[in-house]
Amino acid sequence: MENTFPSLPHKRVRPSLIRRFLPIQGKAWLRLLIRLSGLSLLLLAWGLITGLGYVAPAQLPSPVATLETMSHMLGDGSLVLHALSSLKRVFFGFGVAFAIALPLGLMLGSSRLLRDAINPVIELLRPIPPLAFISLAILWLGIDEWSKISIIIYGAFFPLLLNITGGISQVDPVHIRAAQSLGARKLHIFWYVTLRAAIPNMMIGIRSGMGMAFICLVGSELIAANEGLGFLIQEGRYMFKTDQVLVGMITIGIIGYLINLLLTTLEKILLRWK
Amino acid sequence: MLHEHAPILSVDGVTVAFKSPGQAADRHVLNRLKLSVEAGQFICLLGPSGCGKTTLLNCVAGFQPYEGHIYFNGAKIEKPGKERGVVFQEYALFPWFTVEQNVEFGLRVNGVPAAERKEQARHYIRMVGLAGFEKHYPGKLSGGMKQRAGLARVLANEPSMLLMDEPFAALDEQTREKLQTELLGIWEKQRKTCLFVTHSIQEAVYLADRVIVLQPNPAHIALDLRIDLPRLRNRHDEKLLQYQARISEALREGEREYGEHLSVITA
Ligand SMILES: Nc1ncnc2c1ncn2[C@@H]1O[C@H](COP(=O)(O)OP(=O)(O)O)[C@@H](O)[C@H]1O
Ligand SMILES: [Mg+2]
Repeated sequence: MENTFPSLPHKRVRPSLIRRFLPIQGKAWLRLLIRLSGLSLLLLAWGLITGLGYVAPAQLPSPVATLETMSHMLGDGSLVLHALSSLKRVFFGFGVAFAIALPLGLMLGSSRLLRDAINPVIELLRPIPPLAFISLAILWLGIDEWSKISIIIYGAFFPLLLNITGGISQVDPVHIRAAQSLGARKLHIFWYVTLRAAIPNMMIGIRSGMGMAFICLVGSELIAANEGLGFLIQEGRYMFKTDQVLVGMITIGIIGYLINLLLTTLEKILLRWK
Repeated sequence: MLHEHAPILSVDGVTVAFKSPGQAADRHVLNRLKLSVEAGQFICLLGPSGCGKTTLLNCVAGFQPYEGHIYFNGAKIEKPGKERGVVFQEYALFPWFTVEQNVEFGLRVNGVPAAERKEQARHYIRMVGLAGFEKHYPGKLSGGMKQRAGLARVLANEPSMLLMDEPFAALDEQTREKLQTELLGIWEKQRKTCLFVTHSIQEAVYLADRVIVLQPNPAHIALDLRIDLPRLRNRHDEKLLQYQARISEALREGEREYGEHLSVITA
């Protein structure tokens, strides 16, 4: 049989040197500029408000003063210590939540019966904000690490569970049939079909679970801790060190941004085919 | 040989009933259907939409539980198996795998070593005219190319029978005709038994050795016609047009029958 199919589209344009090192394409530099302009505007407004003396530094310190405090806290290593202890809690809590949610989600996703049995419990618990459990957590676990971590585990758990379950249960039956008729057995189908089909939903679960873990982290550290970014914010408030409050907040923002960047990259790699 | 003239596929007294909502009795889509297929035959199944073509194909594929007997090479069909390759209308390629990985899938799950399966995948990808697209993901391919990949995926597994459910129905006219011709090219080489569902009379007479017209409620064979013309056939051949006329006659008769049936109910 002759092969009349057209070959691949011809030559590919070589990216310039700059573009090869910076992932910028076309008008991306313009977009970068626009993005930076928003950030600059925010800083400018902040600088103006504090610089013109409309608010007392105790209410809102200037950007420069905040930056100074930040670099000072970076210099003596205290900021890194606080950030690390918070990150430890987040990742440990998220990890435990994931370790529980994954097998449970796989089971729930593959069994209609289990889903129907467990759904009411989930739907009842879900609307209660995790932070509402802090009092119970302290009563049961005291004010050491575990009360904080348990809140994080709880907060991250539901977004993870729901999305993993959803992903597994929504596998296209025609893909399963195709695999079966190609000779795949149960384990093959699970590994090559079900699991991969569920990855987009799982990534959504990981993102929102991670977001929830951060919310719970700060909330629980506000109440009972002597280190961590939430503690930094709380202590700043008690001692009227508003600059320290801002440093804590900004650090959380930056860490959140970086983690999101990491997850976005992971998603791009895992979901190349999308 | 003992089984020289034994059919490769024999459908014997097959019944499938679905629960119909709001009605006490189940609706029989297939009722004691009988059909036998010889090895190497290219069979086209024709019939009005909803008459049970997919249901029958699904029984043979092993997707659909049924009452009665379907024997394939002497063994009762109870579940899907790699000796019966299925080409789906909606392609059913795994979107998370490249074309190459899709084509290798069957070999991989059947334990063929990596080097060997790569070679075999390449062979079949070339056969369906997809050389150069090995590393592409299905999402980026046109409908025609997707179905080529779907065909290569099944062929690479070397099934003894191909089950195809309106594989070209979603394609445009030109692509469809091209793929029909190429499918025949492959079939001439491999002489695999084909059960091909279509709703196009032209497609059926162009492809098949044997055209079977099904009529609904429950599905029964209204016409079983041998097409005795050498391939490749001229689509405008006088004889081909005569076959087409007989087939549309059989389809129309069913309509009339069914219409009378309806008028009796409504009277
Ligand atoms: N899973 C099912 N449940 C209930 N009814 C079904 C199911 N599958 C098919 N049917 C019914 O069986 C009949 C035949 O369907 P099908 O075999 O898909 O027809 P065809 O492929 O010839 O168009 C249709 O009336 C359809 O509604
Ligand atoms: Mg159908």
